[in-house]
Amino acid sequence: MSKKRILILMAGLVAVATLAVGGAACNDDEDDGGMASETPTADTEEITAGDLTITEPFARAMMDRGAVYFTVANDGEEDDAIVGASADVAATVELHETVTEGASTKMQPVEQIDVLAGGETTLEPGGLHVMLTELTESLAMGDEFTVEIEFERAGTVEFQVEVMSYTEETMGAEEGGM
Amino acid sequence: MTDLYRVRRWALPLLALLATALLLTYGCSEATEGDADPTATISSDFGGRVLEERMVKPSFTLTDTSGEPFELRGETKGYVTLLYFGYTFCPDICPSHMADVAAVMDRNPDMKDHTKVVFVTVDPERDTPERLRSWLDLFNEDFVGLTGTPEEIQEAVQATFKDQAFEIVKTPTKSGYTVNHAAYVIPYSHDNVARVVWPFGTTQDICENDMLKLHSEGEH
Repeated sequence: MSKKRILILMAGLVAVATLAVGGAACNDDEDDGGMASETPTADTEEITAGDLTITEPFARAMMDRGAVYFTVANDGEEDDAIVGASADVAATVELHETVTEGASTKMQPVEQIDVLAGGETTLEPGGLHVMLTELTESLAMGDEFTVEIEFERAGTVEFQVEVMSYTEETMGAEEGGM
Repeated sequence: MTDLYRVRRWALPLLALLATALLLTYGCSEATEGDADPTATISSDFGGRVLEERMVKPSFTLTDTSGEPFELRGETKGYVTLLYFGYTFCPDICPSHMADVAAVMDRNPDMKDHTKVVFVTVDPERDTPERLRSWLDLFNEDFVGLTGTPEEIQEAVQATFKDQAFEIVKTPTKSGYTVNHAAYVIPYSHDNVARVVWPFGTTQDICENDMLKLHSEGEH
């Protein structure tokens, strides 16, 4: 068992090293590697619940609508799933997926978002997201609020998300520049 | 059982590695946009998604946010025109597109007098002219917002996308509904032709590159 753990750990380290090297290579191709897009919030503390680890939480909001995004990794041996969500700033919170057929793209509600054993699920703009409707207060860039994500097995996890600019995801390093 | 676990626990880090490699390849090729990606430059200097068949700027009349009729071909004649179909209740795709276009416009003030950005709502029921106006103003006060009856808007979709046209359908949700739309900006040249579109995820650099190219073509 412990041997297995070590091997997994090593594989993980290799992955991280690959990422670091690759990331550096990518940054070399760009002019400026200044504002990296991989750390969308200032808050870097780890959010965990049982075997789940939530990273890179952030939100976007405009007028009375918003969305929450994050990555959740499941290091356990049992599948889990996001089955509900709530936020202190929204009257209604839904789980959505984005579906494209030909020229048409739509968001539609889903009952749950799977987080498979040993896997990782990313909620991101243009894909899966926690949709906030009927915001009860207006949100500006830099504002923080609390979300509660309900997992089938791990239970409810509460964490803070920061409202980010709409341009960060697609433009990365050059936000606000020039 | 143990064998199964062994396979799974071994396979996943490996898969993660593979995925990482794939991501990096993709990420890097995106980063070198504009100069090195051969596939992007074979048929055109545009960085957006090159269309197999060019799109021609459609002719349709809708109503702008001040209640005036707006005939697209006439009102945008001679301008580089960016056309988008979306709705203000859309939480990420529509605002991202508008924010990117607005940022490019901000960085290139010369484009202001030669560009029209036209946002057509596919959700006229909830997107009142007032709401549409306040939403667009958050990006750029010059952006044109168009609405109409559901039939008029469906006809505009038809005229724009031709055989790629989609039927606007509401999908019910707990708090109301969502609407389908085209998740890309259509940039038309001065002479009314679009050779590329900018799908969701197109970087601002690509938008800027393509807009500069469009503006450099022909005379103002």
